[in-house]
Amino acid sequence: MFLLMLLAASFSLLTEPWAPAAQQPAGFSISGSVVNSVTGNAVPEAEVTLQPQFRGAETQSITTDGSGGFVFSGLTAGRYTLTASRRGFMPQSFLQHGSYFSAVVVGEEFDTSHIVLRLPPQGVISGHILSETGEPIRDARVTAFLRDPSNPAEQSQRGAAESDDEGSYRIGRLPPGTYFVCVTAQPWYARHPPTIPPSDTPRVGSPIFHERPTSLRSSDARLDVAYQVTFFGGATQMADAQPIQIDGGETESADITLTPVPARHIRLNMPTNTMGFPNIELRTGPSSIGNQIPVQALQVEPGVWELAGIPPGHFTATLHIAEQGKQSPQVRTIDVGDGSVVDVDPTQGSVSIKGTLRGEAGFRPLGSRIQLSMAGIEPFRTDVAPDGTFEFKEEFSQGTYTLVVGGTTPHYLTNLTATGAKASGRQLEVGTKDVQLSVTVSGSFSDVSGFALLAGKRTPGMLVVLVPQGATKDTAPIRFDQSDGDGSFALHNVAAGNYVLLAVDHAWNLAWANPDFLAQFISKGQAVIAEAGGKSTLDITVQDANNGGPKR
Amino acid sequence: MMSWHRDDRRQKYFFDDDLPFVRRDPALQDSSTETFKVTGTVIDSATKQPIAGALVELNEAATLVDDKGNFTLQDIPRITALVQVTKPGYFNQQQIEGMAGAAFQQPQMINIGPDMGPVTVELVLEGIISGQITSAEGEPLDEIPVVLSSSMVTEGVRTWQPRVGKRSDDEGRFRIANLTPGNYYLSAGPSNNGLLARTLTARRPQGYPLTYYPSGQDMAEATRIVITPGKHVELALSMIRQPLYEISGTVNGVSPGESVSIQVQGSANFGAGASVDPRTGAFHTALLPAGIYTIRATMHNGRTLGGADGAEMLTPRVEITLNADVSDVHLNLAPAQTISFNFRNDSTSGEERPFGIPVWPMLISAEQGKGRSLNQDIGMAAPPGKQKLLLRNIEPGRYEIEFHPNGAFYVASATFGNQDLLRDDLVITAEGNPPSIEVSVRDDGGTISAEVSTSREAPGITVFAVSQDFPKAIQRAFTSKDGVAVFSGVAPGHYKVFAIDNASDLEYRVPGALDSFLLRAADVSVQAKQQANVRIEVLHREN
Repeated sequence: MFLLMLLAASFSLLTEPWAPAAQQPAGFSISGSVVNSVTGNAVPEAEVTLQPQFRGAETQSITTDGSGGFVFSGLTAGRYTLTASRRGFMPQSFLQHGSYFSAVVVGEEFDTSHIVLRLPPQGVISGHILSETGEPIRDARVTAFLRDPSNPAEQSQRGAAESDDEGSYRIGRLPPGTYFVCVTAQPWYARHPPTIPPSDTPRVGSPIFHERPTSLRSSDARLDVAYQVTFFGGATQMADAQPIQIDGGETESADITLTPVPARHIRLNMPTNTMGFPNIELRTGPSSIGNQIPVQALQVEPGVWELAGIPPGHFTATLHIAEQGKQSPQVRTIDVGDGSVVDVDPTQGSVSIKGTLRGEAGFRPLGSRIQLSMAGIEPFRTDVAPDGTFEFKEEFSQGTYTLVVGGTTPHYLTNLTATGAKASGRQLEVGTKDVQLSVTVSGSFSDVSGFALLAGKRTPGMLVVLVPQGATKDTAPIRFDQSDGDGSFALHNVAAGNYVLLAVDHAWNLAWANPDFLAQFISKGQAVIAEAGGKSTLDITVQDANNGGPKR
Repeated sequence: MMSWHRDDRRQKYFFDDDLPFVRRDPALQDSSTETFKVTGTVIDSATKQPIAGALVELNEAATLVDDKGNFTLQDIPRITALVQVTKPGYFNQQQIEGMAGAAFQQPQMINIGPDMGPVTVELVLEGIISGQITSAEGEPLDEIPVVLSSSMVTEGVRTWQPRVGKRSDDEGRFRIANLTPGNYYLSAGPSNNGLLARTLTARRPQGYPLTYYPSGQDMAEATRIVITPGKHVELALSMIRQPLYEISGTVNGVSPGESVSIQVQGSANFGAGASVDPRTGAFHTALLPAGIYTIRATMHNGRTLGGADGAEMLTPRVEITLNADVSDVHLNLAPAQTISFNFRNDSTSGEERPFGIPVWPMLISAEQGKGRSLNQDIGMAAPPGKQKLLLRNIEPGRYEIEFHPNGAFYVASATFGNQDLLRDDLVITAEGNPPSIEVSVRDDGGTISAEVSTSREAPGITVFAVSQDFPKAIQRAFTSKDGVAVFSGVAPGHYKVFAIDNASDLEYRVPGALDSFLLRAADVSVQAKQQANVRIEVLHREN
């Protein structure tokens, strides 16, 4: 009965004429259609690619016909990655959510003939950047940030553009979502004369750098101005910005007006033995997503600089100071507000960090590397010596750093202790004292795999989450997977520890990567102890996010 | 040495040093506090109408013009200075000359003083080229690279330079503003639709070849786009889809541990990549539209090109006309040719002082017809402490070679084996162990001082001095404000000297280009360490 229904259903979708079983092409087939995820309309001329997840078979590609249909036939049983793409749409794999998708599993017991690939149409945000007098501003940098649907507190940069001679910009290729648009620009006519006087007792011991500043005595105070970083809606912070919703393929208009405000000046005291211009970057946010603000540096007196042309706002400043051959980037967050002079003294204490790395019996430290990172700067790395000791050649300023152990074979952190700093989990709070670290790692991972069961049936496309519990929270991340066509999931390289495994349906439209959202499902999840070197295989019952409970 | 002083009147501090384009009247250095007011108007060069919102800078002062284009600057000392005016969307004279690659000419300075009148400054309005790129079926094509090129005459050679590059947006549109007046050519593509490797078993992949506006694939078919101040040209460009192909083959001579890379170069500065198996040397390029490409491989041990001790292996450039898959291309690595220049100071001054590199050679490929300096492609390295210059990675071929004197030295002789480089081209063969280029320099040159009389005051006239002994050597100098051009440190001998107005785009390296001027030139003889003076009239050149 089940098989007859299957064949009848296939008949209407296959583009090849149905043939009696004896004349069917050898092997299995995958067929289906590509549709617009918003309208549901067929997408012809889309490219559909089928990539086997095993050796011995070739990747194939087909263009969909007038009704968006496609067929791959003569296939060997196994797992495949199926992806569709077309100009004007975001590429999409089978049951894709964020960066997770399901493999199509081909074989006797699987129905792979009704596959629907839903392509989200690409939207556009466009508009004009204008000055307060209505004049177009050219060469303004416009950035679009997309709110992470799986974790709405976070945004990522999705596109950028520069405004042209009419002030017009256009950011395309945007998937559906909630966006924020911000502009960084400088008034083209801005000129920034020095305003910070030399002190009566200038510092000695530092060379005067022979560089010609653009020291204009401005006839017109209107010229010492800057534009604040401005979001659509006029706000100067992302939190107050007006969101722009793109549901699928439309063009949204976002005009932004920039009003000049008096530019600020910052006094910078450099360490006495540094030469040359201060190597400073000012960004609107962490270096990964912040736009850079140009800074004009004028020497006031030996070792003292004036940074001019800065709009008020909140910035991440990265100073690269090379002292006696040691590089030490220092990161500060600077609030440039109504006070016109801000003292930044990078000569305040820097500390050294060193330590030892240990593992289980037989662990060889050679080839391992310790990395300390902080938002906004390039991570610091140092190699571990054969005796397990390591020492960073940089000096560190105060702040909280995240420690990661890398190397030629994967290891995970099992313990971190420190003297001179506060260690918790993999975080290290550095103060004013030199730091000695003791780092312990393990190379014995675990595998957690199995099937996601919805109403007792193995089901594809389910969100599977492995949530660390207790002490494991400090050293291991939350792991995600999506069940494949046969309902299976697999998590490899799991750090040993205590976890709760859960599977959730209808979670993909919610904040599924946010730990607070996941907390409600923990009580009905399944406890798992991942043993070093062990494998756990289990069936996990799917909970329904809509009904807030497990399906029976 | 910088110093600073306090200005009590304004409670401000500024640095006292020579700003560019400022000359103080020596008779009044620092002792005069007399200041003046400078007024003026900024107008459009074509319409002569005032321009609002421009920025005027002079000395250390700056101001915006009002909505009638008028400006006033106070407290300017008695100096000779340049009034710099800027506004987005407009060009001032220095910007136009800079973009055209014109040789440095004296900027127009004004004398600040009690007798000066109001100043008028002209700005040239930008040109704009915009358009849309569609497929033959009318569908907009996005992410197609668009390049605008214009020709420039540099050192007497006309070269095509790409000036601006953009990509079409999701509607196939592009817009290029900020264009100085001139002739431009537009090319679009090529594009392989982002297909990098052959993974498809379905029909042959397709893409768009390089297309010159309006529609040809050959630069000879390109239509020039004329931009005058304020002109906006709107274009429609249709691109025809064509099959894509790949070039594959083997790089012979790879060694383990060394990195091999392949450069594929198409027209209009298009570059593509190729993947190479470092163990076997087998390579295949990205999918490319039909066209003419050159391909070469390089292998180096990680040290930078041009470093004094870097060792590099190259293959000759192979030209491929791609209109089908091309396989079995062999690129044979061979050690890069290094040729050294040995400089010998045969001066009579008697002092044995180190002088670094006395003349800088410039190589122009005579074969590729591009006429551009190859100095950047060929790594030049000057080992410290030696009067030597090494040219690395130089391919066999014929080159024009010029020596640019630095004023103190002239080249008395330059030989490469039995080639006389002052009279002939430099010919490099593939044979190993090439000799050095022996260059003898002397510092006992003479000076030619040419006073150019002309009915109108026009600084910036080009004066040519062509050596009769070595006709390849064509020297140029520019008249200063007082109408005199000086050639210093020239080889003693006989010269023909003449002056031309309107010479910035004269392709004087084309044989015969200067013939009509040479007929009317003055004959000048120069002795060692002597100055020869000559007075000449300006010869007029039609555009």
